[in-house]
Amino acid sequence: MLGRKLRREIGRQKGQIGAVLVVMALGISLFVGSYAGYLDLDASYARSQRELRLADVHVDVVRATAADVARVAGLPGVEAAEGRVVVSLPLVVPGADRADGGAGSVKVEARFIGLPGEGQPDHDRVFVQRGDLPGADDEVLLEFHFAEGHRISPGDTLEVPLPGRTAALKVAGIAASAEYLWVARDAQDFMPGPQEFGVVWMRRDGIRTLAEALAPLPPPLGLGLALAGTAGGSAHATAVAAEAGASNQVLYMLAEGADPAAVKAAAGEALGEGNALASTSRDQLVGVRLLQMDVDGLRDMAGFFPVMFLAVGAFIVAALLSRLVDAQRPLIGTMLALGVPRRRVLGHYLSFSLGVGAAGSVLGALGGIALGALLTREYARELRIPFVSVEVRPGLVASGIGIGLLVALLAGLGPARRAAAIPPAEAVRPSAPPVGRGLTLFRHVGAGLPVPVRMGLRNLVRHPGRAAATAAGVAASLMLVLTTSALVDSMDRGIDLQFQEAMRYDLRADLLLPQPAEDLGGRVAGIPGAAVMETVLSLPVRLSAGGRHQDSLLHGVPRGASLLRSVDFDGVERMPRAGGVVIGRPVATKLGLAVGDPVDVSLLPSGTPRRLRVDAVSDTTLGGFTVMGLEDARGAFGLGGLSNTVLVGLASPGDREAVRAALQELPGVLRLHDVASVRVELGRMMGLAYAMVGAMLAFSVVLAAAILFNTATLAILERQRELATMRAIGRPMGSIAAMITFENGLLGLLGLVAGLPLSVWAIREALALYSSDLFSLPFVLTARTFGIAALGVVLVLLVAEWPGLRQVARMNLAEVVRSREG
Amino acid sequence: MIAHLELEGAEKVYGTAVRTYALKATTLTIPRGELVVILGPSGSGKTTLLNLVGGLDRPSAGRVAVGGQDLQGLSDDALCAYRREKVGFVFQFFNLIPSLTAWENVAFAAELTGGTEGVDGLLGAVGLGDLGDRFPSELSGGQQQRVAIARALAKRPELLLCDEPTGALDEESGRQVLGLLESAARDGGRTVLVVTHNPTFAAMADRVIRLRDGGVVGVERNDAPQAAHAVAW
Ligand SMILES: Nc1ncnc2c1ncn2[C@@H]1O[C@H](COP(=O)(O)OP(=O)(O)OP(=O)(O)O)[C@@H](O)[C@H]1O
Ligand SMILES: [Mg+2]
Repeated sequence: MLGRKLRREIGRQKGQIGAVLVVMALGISLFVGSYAGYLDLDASYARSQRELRLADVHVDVVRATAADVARVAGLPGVEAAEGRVVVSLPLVVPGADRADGGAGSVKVEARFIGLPGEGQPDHDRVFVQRGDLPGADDEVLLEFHFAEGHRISPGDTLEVPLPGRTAALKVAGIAASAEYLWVARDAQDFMPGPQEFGVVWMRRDGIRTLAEALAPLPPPLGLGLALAGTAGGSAHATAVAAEAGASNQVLYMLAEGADPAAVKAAAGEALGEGNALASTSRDQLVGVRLLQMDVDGLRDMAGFFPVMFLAVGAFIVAALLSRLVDAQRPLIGTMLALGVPRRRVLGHYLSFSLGVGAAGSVLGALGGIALGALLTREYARELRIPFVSVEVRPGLVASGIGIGLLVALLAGLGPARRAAAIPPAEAVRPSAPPVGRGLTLFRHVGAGLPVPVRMGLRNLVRHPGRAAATAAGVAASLMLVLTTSALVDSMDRGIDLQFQEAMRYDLRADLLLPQPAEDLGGRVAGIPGAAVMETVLSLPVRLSAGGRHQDSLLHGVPRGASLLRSVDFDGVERMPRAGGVVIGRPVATKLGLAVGDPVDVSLLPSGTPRRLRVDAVSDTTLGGFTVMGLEDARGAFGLGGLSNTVLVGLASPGDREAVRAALQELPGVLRLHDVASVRVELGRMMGLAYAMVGAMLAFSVVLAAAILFNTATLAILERQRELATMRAIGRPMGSIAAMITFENGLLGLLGLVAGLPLSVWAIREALALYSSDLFSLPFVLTARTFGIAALGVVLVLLVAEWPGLRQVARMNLAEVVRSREG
Repeated sequence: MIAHLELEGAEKVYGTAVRTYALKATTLTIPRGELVVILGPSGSGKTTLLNLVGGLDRPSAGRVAVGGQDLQGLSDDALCAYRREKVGFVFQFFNLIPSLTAWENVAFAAELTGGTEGVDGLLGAVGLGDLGDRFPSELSGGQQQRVAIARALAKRPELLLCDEPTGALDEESGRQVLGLLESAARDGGRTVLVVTHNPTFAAMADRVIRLRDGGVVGVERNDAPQAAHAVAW
């Protein structure tokens, strides 16, 4: 019979129970779904890396012979080792339609990775999606992002410009690789578009033929070794590639139980003093890291939002049950008087919250299973993960349901125990609503003010707990909505800073080798449409301080440069003085450097360190670079009069194509960097981020609305009797509504005031969570965003009065007066 | 005469600093099967007395025994069992469970001590055989109070305690309710205590207890009680 009572009571509170169900179910689905998605994706990546034998360690070396590689392979702790060539060469895609909307051929920096003469390499294998592995020395296999970006199919032909001729390369197939599921050029340039960068596999002998044709270019001023790997050019790599049997990268697998640090040291020794440049463990590869950050985002989501949803669900369950218990005090007394044991009363009200919790959890678990499968499938398809592993996880589903039940149980425990503790004599002495201590203290609150205001004020002091709960609900709602909207603002501002303050050029040409700046300037100045031109020296360097190192790209920029500047998050220019450098915030943090500190800067791979001074620290949204005066940099690294990068500002956007075409025809240009296509790429990536934040915002709005609706509705329902009696006495509905509105407005205001510092804290936490050495965002909280969020919260709070007030208006006064139960 | 209820110096005091004597030390004996009317002005301690006898409350001092068993020594659980098995309550404001129908309200109590077979008979006996499907909000006050009586009787209590059972009712419904209480005592052999501030009810009682300021000021036996329907209002 009590079960029937319960079911009918649940039926009577459909609206609120529905809200709890939605909130709980969303919480559990998000937990089960995103966690299942996270586990599946994580397992899929791991499986893909395993199946494709992605090497445990990649060592960039100056030059390794077969004997060097054999020595590494023979080290204890090394299971297998292999050498390979990685070299950047210009590649021309003769194209008609380009993804960025332009037309004509594009010159791209292609990272050529060597393959053995037959079949797959032992490490870092490829997953061929279409076509085949190269069957001849002049065939290439294209990484799929690059192929798709240019709509290239197997059978098409690409060209490598060589001195005096071009080499035609036939596309044999299209493939994915575990290293480049996320295509990153390096830590500075971690999302290049296919218009500027691509990964290409070719037989080792084919690469040698190309490199031989390029190698006669004289390395100027002994710079030969300077420009391997990271950025700018790859004169040295080309030289190694031209040499039969030589490698510039050594890959190895660790034996089980080997100590990675010890093996790394031993490998460095085996390769010879100064030969090993950088040793990167598998999970530190830039592309792997970015992908992992992406997946970890899913895991964080599996933590944060479900906790929020369940907390709100618990809050609503507790509020609902509290109100039910308060309203049923005489009934509970009656039940106890009838001889119903206290245990049963406790169980009765607990089963209310458990019933709601069970329904929400089961719904949520079902939704979660679907969501998890969807997430994995969409991600796997979007990222073309070669080996997907999807698992059914009964344990996860069960723990989702268990968590839901536990939350419901905890939420219901307080009110249920209160119910069981009601003295049975309450049945007999129809209790006047207990006067809060507040009212006896503030008996004269609001005396002399209009009645609605006076009553509103007194209601607040009469139920300080309820008032605090409402204000807390408003504060929490504001925090949720404001934090997610502020993330959007931060992203917008971060991108603006990047492109309007720091990178202000339209086109950048990176040269294979540094050239005399005067000649270069003369040639570029002659290009019609190139309104502003600056030449820069871009060098891969290693920064060292206090025994710690960080590799970075250093730009030597001319005095008064306008196209490439370092700025901070306030948009203030941070440029170095003579003998100084400006470093990025992540570098400063990692090396523990402050303004004025000395820092040693050496040219990679093996230059002599120069002691310089930190003049300022800059903030960048994407990556980070080091800035130095152009003349300073030339002097410090012995490159007088040379530049290897040309920055161009266009006179008008219409000149873009013409200027592009002219720039890529300049002798020695490795690649063109087009800010427009970077923005396309960024837009694509930000689209994903916006979708994520948008989903978060939607969740926040749902949560906020659930909190506000429940607090507002309950505040009215709790006093239904009181309000009905006021109506019975003849107070018009309008005056009652005014009283409630005044009350809610006041509480809303209180909540907003409390919510603002809370939001600022939460925004900072969220930004810290999302920032790394690759990516960081400025703190932005605009008055506009705050205004919209605050207005929204208050509006929802006021709209939320509606259902409750309507119920009061519709209440059958005769019935209310006759029955004792409110 | 077998004493059904015995109070020996039973008192109830509220508050520690300012002590309010809701019931001063009271000694009373009531035999089984009597219809007892408790009279007194508002605040005189009528409800307090009823609560002590019904095991809703414990005396601050003294002894309350029902059917030879001392109540003050019982644990909470035992007191609950006592209420469940021995006592039926009828309240001024009915206290029906609004989300259960009339039939279900009675059945709810019947289940506590046995089965629901007798429910239809009980509803018929209180004249509501046809209205079992209605919710309390669909019944008049008198009808609700009759459901409440059926609910109290459903547990076959030996003691029926009624606090102002007619307080919220008009004359006609009030008489019907009194008639039911009367037959509970006369035909059912139960001890029935009816609290009221209406002195004319004294005419139908076997015994009248008068309270004032928390103390018993008089106990009268009535050897020729009137029938309930004849009671003046
Ligand atoms: N919880 C309490 N705390 C303090 N005093 C109380 C409490 N409950 C009752 N009293 C006091 O005890 C006295 C007797 O109360 P009781 O409810 O028994 O009166 P009553 O005779 O039933 O009155 P009425 O006819 O108005 O129902 C009253 O003076 C009352 O103020
Ligand atoms: Mg009373």
